[in-house]
Amino acid sequence: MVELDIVKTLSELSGMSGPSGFEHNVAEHAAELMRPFADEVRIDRLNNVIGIRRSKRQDAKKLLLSAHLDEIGFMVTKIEDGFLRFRTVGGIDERVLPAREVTVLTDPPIFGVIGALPPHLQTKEEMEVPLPVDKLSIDIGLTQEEAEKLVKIGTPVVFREKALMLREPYFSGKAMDDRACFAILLRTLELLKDKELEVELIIQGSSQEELGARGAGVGAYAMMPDFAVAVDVTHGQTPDAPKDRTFKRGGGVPISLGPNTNRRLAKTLIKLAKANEINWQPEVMEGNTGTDAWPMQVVQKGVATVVVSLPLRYMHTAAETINLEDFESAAKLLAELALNLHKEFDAEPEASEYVSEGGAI
Amino acid sequence: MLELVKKLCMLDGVSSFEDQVRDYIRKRVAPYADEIYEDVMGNLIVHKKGGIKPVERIMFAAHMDEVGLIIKSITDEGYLRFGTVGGIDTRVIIGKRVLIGEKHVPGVIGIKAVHLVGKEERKSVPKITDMYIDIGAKDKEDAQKVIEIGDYAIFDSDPVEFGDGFLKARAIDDRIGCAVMIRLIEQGPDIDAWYAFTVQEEVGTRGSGPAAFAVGPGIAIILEGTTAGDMPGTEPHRKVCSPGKGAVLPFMDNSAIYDRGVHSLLVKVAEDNGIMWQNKEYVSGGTDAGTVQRTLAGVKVGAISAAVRYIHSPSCVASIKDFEAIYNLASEFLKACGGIKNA
Amino acid sequence: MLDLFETIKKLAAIHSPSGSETAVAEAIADIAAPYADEITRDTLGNLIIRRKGAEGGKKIMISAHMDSIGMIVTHIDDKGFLRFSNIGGLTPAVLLNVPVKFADGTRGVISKDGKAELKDLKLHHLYIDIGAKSREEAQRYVKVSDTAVYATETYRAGDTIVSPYLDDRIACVVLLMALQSIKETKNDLYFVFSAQEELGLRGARTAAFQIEPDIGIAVDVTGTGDTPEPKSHMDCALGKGAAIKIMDGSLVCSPAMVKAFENTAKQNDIPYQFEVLEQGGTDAGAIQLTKRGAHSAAISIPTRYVHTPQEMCSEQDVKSAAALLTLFAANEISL
Repeated sequence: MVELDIVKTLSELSGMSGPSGFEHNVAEHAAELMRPFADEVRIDRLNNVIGIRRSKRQDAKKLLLSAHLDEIGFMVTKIEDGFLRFRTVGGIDERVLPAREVTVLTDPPIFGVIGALPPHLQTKEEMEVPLPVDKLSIDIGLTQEEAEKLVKIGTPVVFREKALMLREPYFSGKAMDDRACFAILLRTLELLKDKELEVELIIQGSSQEELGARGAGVGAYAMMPDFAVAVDVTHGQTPDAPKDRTFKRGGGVPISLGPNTNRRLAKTLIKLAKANEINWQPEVMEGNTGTDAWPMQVVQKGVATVVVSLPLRYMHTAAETINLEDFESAAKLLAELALNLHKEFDAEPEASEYVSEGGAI
Repeated sequence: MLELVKKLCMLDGVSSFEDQVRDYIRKRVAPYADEIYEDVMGNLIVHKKGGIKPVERIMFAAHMDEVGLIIKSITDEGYLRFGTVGGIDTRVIIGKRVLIGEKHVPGVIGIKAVHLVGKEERKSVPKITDMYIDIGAKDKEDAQKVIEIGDYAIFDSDPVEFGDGFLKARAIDDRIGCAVMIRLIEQGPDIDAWYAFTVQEEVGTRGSGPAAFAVGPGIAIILEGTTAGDMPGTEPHRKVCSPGKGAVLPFMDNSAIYDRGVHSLLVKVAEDNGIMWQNKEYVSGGTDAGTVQRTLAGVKVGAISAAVRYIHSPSCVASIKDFEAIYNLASEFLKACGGIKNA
Repeated sequence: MLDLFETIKKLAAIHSPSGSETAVAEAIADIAAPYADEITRDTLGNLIIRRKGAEGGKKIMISAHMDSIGMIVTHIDDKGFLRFSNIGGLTPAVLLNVPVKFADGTRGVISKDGKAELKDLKLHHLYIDIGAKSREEAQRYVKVSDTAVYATETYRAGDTIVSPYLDDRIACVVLLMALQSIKETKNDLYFVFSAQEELGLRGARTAAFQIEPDIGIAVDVTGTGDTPEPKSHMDCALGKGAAIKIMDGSLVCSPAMVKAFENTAKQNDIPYQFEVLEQGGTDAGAIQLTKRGAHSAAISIPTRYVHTPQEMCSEQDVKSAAALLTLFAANEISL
């Protein structure tokens, strides 16, 4: 009987190093975490991890749940006087960079600090403006010669931060976007462990989401699901952010509405939330949701998609903070979806008005 | 044709809420269709088997959706915060009237009166996140009686014929395309063709990919609305095209370089049949053609467009005689593909 | 074996901006024909040259784009001046006073509206002057939708090659060199001379869909950091070898393939360097995300002044790239 230790799992996932494009180690670890719950687990060419729980039902529809495993990071572009010049990989908030500890992903990894000019060398005006990335460099404490031996151009780099619990139920660490949501998927699998499923359930740990949801479409193409849920983070409420565009703790699981969402699938989720007393709230996104749902929706002949979110504070910093109660609500809701989705579509009357061939090729 | 366009322009169809438009079209064309179905995204796909089957599979496409708004939240005082669905210039919506949801709850897009605005502030354009819709609600609870978060809103703009054969309406882009396709299905040449009434073009040509993937055309003709910039003060080389000067046959826009063979054939068919046509004298905008062109192993794409002034605003303006030109050109093109030449 | 310089000189002079690749496709097909098992041209205009491999090898799509950037005429004014739009990435400041040519040989010069300020220069401030005195006269030579390209020379100075359209005709030369050098191949090779790359990797997308490769390799130009006061910290330079791409705006190259390229280069004493481009993109980005995905990477030619009338690269780097591509593609690959 597998019992998921959520905090331990979150800490493990947070501690791994896998910026967009370099997820292989994280993918392997994620595959191991899924194995106890899945009939089949594999890693594809783009380092998407796919786990499948089959159904005994012959005509079972396919439900895919996707959370991305890549994190934002940096890449070495040049070695100058022993310091490493770098570019960002994914959307990093540059304001958090000065004096930031990082891990340079050589083999074995090296410790580094993104330098900051000391205050007495800057003017008052200079100190009021964030430092652009091209003025920063990573200090690894080596000479040019030593650095060139150990570090290649193109070496990836990630934040160095140890995850930990703040006051319960808040948990903070790097890469909670979106590994916390992958952990939600593991918890969902645990909730479904000994239950029969009338759908084929596919769990995807996708790659390269931070570069434009690149992995998810490829993973979905191979699986060709009928339904796909992108499970991603959204902005948690903080004192300085507009209340109408952020989500507060306990406000309910955010369920997407808008063009990137299949209305019927969203309504099904809302119905299930209400029936199971899971608090929910609408998250209206008027265009690209900026999640795996965007490419997944238009794979082949189209997929019914929706986004289920986890509120997260301080997105794209090393201090990403989530609420474990929100975590559990999302997992419960997704489990209910996996158990009950078929009811919604089994009741479908025959499409008598049209002569439907369901496709021309 | 005019009545059909006007009728379609009165139906609600903000991207992803195309139900009314789709239902109307389906009811009209179903009796003439050999195959008809709605796919998972909401595209309506129609196959009309004609007496003649062209060498390459032909697909026409027009999008059912229009730009509009979507309600995102309700303030404690009962005002509605919203987002734009599709590309809308925020300057054209200030002070305009909208209708929300199927019940058409009326509202106004509010902004503080000019008398209360400082000189500097008047020079800048308000952001969408600063705007709100006022439906006259007392407070949040009152608003919630008639509005739901996630409701769509359309511009309150009825079709009006005016001037020298012009039509003002919302959604001329792309109900004109839909009207042409409906007529082709009902009365067009007896030639095998597919018709994709697509969804969500305005939020990134989203429906056209899955539609083209399912149909697998060799040639696709996109019927669209395109920007006319022929207003006073615009330099001649940025006027692009003009309502009343005929069907626009673009050779390139930001989404695609149209297949040169298809473009030449469209021009030839227009000239041979005395159909008025014009170039699109600027590279701007995009259509479903881009997505269709790069679907599967590639599709030859062409487009026939209507010149529309003030596109993506509540008051689009187009020329009624252009509608006939577009229909005739599409019809003659289909005949040409079927190997029928007019005497 | 083809003459590197003469071939680039020939290909760079051919009028084939995105959407009008037929002329350069024919020239490339001529050179490739004796070495090809199959030659096809597809719907988007990609030229695909196949070299069949032994059973059990990998299916590799090797892509270099044959289209160039250029200008497309949108309007002819009543005095005979031609207004145009861009095909691919054009910077207005780069175009001022540049000589251009049309497919039929008509020549012109680009200039700007007199009142337009240099610091706010946009494409719609520019026009092409072909010396016509009126619209009627201009229309005898040019029509709306005609395209123009840079009318500048290709020449050699020591190891340096200077030419318009090294992006990406020099990569086409690399592919042809590899095609000629490979005698036997373990892998099924598709040399794709792609169309419409400059508009967003358009041709490669559909070619990859059809071919469905296991591996995608793009050969393209990349920038350098070896000119005075460079804006970015790019550690790539002319003459330091074939550039193995790590990342650009369109893809993060498969780390396994980057390693494999590095090993091949080391084992065969081929000069190489790594490159990280802040923006930009290559066909490899499109191939990587096709269908079920492909292991993707790119070999680049470091090039100065990309997208200007006179781009510059090192002939040695071109030879290194061809050697690396040849050895990698023809031999057994395990990733």
